[in-house]
Amino acid sequence: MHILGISCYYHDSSACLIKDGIIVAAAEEERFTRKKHDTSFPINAINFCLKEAGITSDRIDWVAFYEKPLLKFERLLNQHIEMFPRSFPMFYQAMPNWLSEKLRISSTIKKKLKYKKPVFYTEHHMSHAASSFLVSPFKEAAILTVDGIGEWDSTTLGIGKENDIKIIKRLHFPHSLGLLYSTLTAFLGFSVNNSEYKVMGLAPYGEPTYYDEFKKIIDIKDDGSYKLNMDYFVFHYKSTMPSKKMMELLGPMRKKEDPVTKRHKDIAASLQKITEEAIFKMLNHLHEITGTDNLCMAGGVALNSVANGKITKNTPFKKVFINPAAGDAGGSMGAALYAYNTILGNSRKQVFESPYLGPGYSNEYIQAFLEKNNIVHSKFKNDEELIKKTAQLIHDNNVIGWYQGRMEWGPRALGARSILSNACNPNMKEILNTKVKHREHFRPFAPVITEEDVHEWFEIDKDEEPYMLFVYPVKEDKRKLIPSVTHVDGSGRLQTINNKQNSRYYGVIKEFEKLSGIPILINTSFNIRGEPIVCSPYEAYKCMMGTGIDYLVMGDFLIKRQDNQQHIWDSESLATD
Amino acid sequence: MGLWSDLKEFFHPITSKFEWFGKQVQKVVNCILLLIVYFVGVAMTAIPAKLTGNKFLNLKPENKKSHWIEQESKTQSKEDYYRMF
Ligand SMILES: [Fe+2]
Repeated sequence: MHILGISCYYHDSSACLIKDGIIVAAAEEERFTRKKHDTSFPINAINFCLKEAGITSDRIDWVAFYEKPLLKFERLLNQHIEMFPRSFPMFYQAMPNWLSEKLRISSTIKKKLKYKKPVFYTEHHMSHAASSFLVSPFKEAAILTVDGIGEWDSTTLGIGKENDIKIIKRLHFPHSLGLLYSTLTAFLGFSVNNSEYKVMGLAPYGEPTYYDEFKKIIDIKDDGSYKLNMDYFVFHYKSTMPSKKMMELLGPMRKKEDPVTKRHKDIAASLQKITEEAIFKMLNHLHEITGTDNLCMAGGVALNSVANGKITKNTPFKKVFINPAAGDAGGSMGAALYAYNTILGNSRKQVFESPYLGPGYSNEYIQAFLEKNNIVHSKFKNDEELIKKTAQLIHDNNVIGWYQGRMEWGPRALGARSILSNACNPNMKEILNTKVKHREHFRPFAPVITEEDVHEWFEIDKDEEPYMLFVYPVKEDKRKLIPSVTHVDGSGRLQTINNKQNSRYYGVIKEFEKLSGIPILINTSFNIRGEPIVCSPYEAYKCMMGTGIDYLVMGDFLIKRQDNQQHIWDSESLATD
Repeated sequence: MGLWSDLKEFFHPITSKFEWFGKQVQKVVNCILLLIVYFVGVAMTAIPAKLTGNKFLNLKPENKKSHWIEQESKTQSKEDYYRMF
């Protein structure tokens, strides 16, 4: 039985195909259209999923959509009625899209896929919950979903047992922790629904001196339920987010080009503190009402890796699982799984074990691409040579574009479309920023470490963290050894890897350890600034040639930037982020 | 085919101007229609609601012990999931 899950029209549209309860393929639409956070109908992602499964659309048994559009539309109408007449600009902006696209999803699916059966519509937060629980290693778990907004819900507490999920308690729009975080992201001069992680990265540089001000903005009860003071917000009737009153409370908004000052850092620190307070209180209450030590989380706020890393210390939960695509992209997977397991009543068939669910390209394809474009390259004789040569290049402080196998599911590069470099070099952060990333100076780079060594280097309470969703402190005596991946507060958003998960990736780190004594590399996403992570060999090559990446290890091939001078260009001249 | 594409190319500057003009008209019509819908449809509900104190969003601070809405999800039949609401 083939079930296609679809999420689209809000942010990060995606598709996921499951066959008899097993995930065959999943990908975000942005990777194909090259439009970051693309919200459009994910026809390219769907076509990829079908191709990967070796079927055409007439073999799809069911289609599941990740939310209930009419419920969302009802909430929107309520907003316009409540905020009449101030809501007209938003009404004017949003309505054509709703009428021409969002409310016509059923006919779009039927037309584009030639699908004749009814579509399953699952609630937005149920899709989030399902994306995590139904592929978790737990038979029973408490479930917390927190995001910007679904239909009406912004936060839910639930419980999953076998193949069923019950939502027990919820909070409704406009009271949303995700929208609070996004509002402050806008306030601090960063782009909403895109740069929330920058605010999280900025927080450790500040002190939470605005905590008391934040207590006026959000009322958090002991059971974790919360309510925003809407005097400080305008997102319920405007496309902007903070109100004038928020500026009176926290000072003027930062413009994009303004320098980041101590005040901005302190605001970020205070926001992170209040967010963590709300999350931990909710989780303590969730544990109280469910009585299980297992936790699943989903929704955009579940990508707050700093808070995630503190869960077991601040709550009674002992084990936590989060789908790597915790945001809305994960909704397609959740909807498909919910349809198979819960609506159709089938037992669960799979625990999430590999994030490599996207498109992959064969060596034959890559070779044909290189030859057709007269790209100077060499071929590795075997895995051993590939691993040794790559480790040596990294040890010599080269920046490597690492393009191997199928693309990752979710927003993080996890060793399929990564940029790898030397974590021991104290200048590597600057080198990476000058050559490739051009990031804000305060943003850290992330480490990847061999699984067996993680306890030696990090203060971590579990044996693996394969999806970069948790931040843990680097052991104090190790911090000076890996300066490029140690954040200002001594933490790192690590990924662990073992041989089974990705043998070449693991092999390179092991080999690097032989050269440097350190089983850690810098792993950052393989993309041009402002663009999605590379998907095809062409995009990988283009990214290397447009940035300062020194070598590209693509499949069995090695390509050196300097050998292909004719294709060099400057990606920074076009970067938009 | 050749003649047709030649003609298309010849008239391209005119057709593109028509296209642009069409889009502007569409924008104006859209705006008028949406204004009518908003100030008739939305206003017809909003004004009496304001007069009678009916609320469509929960915006005001409340002195409650908890803000949780205890609304448990119900087991639904397969057909219930066909609905967009
Ligand atoms: Fe969401």
